Amino acid sequence: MPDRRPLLLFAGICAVCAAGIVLVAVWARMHATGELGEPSSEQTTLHRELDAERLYFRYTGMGPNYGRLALLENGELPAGFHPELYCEAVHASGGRGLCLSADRGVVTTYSAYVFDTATHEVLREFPLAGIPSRTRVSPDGQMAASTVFVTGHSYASVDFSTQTMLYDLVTLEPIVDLETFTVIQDGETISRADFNFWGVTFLHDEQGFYATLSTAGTHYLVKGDIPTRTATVIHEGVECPSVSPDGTKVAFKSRIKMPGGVVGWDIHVLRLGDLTDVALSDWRSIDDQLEWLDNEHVLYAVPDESSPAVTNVWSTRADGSGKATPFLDNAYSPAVVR
Amino acid sequence: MYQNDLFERLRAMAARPGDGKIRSKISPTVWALGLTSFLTDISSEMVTSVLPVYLFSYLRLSPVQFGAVDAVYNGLSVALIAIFVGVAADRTRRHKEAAAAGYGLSAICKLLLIAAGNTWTGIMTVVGLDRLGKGIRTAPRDAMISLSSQKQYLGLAFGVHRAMDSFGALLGPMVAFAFLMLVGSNSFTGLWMVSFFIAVTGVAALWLFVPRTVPVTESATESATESATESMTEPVTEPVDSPSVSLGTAVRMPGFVALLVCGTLLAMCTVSDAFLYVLIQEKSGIGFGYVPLFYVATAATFMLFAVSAGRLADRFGLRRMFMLGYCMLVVIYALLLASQSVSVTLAAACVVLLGLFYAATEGVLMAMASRLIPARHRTTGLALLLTGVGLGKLTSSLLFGWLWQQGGIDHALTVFVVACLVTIVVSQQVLSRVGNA
Repeated sequence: MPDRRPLLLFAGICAVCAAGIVLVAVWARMHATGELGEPSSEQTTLHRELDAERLYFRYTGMGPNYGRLALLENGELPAGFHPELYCEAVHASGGRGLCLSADRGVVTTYSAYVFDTATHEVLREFPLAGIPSRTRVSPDGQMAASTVFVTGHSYASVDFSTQTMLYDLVTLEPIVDLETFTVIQDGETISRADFNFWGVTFLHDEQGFYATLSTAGTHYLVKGDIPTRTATVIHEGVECPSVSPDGTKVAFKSRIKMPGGVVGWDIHVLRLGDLTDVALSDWRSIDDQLEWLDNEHVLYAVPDESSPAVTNVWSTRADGSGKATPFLDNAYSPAVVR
Repeated sequence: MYQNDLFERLRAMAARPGDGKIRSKISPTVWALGLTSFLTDISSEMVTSVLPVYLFSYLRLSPVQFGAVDAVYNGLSVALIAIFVGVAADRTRRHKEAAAAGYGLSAICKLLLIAAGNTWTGIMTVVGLDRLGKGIRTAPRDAMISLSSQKQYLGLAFGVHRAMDSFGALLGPMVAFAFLMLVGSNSFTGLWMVSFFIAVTGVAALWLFVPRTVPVTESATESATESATESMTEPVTEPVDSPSVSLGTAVRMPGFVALLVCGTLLAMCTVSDAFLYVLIQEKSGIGFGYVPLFYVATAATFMLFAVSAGRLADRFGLRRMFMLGYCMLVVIYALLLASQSVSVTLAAACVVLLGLFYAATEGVLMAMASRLIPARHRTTGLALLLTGVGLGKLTSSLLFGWLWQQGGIDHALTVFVVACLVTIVVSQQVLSRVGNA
């Protein structure tokens, strides 16, 4: 008679593991920050007055509204929700908004939705090639940009690149992938296999934008010109630029090595006139594309201590004085509509 | 349902007159290792399939570039450790322990992923350890498959194992999706724990059901060879009195060296799946969102045909099946090169052909090598071959990416088609001359 002990032991181990899986599922269900959490009304606290007509953001509070596109009208609480859109990142300006969205499934697909800020109507859906990262709409609402991470899928590999697309929000058609731009540095055309663009911010004159170009470990601030499809390197050590409403300054994050070899980011403001730069006041590493509240203050998201899925928006002065203060709780990707 | 299909196929094949029962051809060790790989692949693939979403969408980590230099450096260190473990496993005859160490390390990595928190360095360390676990376990596991199988059924044995392995890889993403749907779309910590528990059952299956090597002795294998119907060249003689196992002995076998070189060169001519799928997607205009379905279709084809391919390889020759596999690859490249716009049907055909390519080559190569390497050097030899193939694939990715950047898709593909054809012809000549199966 064959030895039955291994079989019984295996059955026992499987039973213990199955029980473990059930316990984990119950525990995770109780702590869910996704759409299955306990139904509650949105809990958003606005910590200071808001002059802007409207503020869009991704709601990150626990509960069924997690990830929904939310908006504050004239700074009045409670925040309202867009009837249909859930966004990973959102931006709006000049009557148009762009919402980068994930449709999770066995096969997760990603889309960018153009919406009308007056009627909330979704005007167009563009397929995205990867996981949403950043988006910006030009001040007059005629153009928009999206940056996504395109990942490979091989066993235990995390290789990826970025793809940054520009869209025409008038004709509702994609314009161009930034990878096709000619890059000019010191008057000469450069071309390398490892070019990656991200973090577009539009200028007020419509045809131009700033973005980050990464190559060989260096992050350049480039100025892009859409009609000629060129991007000119103008500065170094700049990631995720964001042009101020008056067009004179660029807020950005700057890569630093933190203790233990961990990569972190300080936030800075660059004066475009003389390319002088000031460090802003925040004690944490800030990994976000900054948004201008007005010409004196910037906004950015910081993960909550409870879970990285929950984020709060903070504010600090653009001249490096003062100290960072909470601005809006349970929020990510703020977009100030002026 | 997949499982039913698979077993249905197995039963149908087993019932074929004159073939004998499949159960008598496949040793319990192979089934047990198949179960281990099945469970481990569910566990790994449920992590792999959601890792990008976890990193970028949940932790909101920003891109930190990991260059080609890092990839080569990491690949080499894993390869060196894998070969070292292979030599140690052969010397001590502790294949099971070596494999268990690899499976165990990967299981622990699922918990380490929780501890790694939201830093790139932490997560990349865990991913690296997981890859190391895979590097350590593969050669001892394949050695155990070959050592417990009779020589004339090696193709079938590897086919059965690979079918179970890829079935797990197919289920993994579905399990992950089901968990996140039922529990909450941000329950990643819970998901890693579920993955850990499944990995533990995989290690348990290995530890409890796989006997210590080596039930089929070298002499038994050799006598089985003589009774095989196909023409075999003389069995590889090994020095009976060699006291210690060394890397040198494994390398000094001309048949094996030829296979090692040809296998590595062929891997260098293989366009990586990721590139191939992007290529098919771009030429067909199928939405980006469907690319993951390509992986599913390839894995499903691999699963469904691994057993048949192994069985046919046993009957008509392992080398013939292996070469046929690479010919299918050339057909895929030629089809993609010939058509400027790829129809959905053609895209599907390419993806299925890729699955057939894997069924015809993946396990079959290990079976070919197993016939050439004496039992006492089996793990070392297989580790060398796996390393060669792995580094070949890495080189191919770098080369293809560079060619694509320089002259466009069609340029890169043309170079690879020509290189692949030349290598197939040369390999066919070399391998038949040195008398491989």
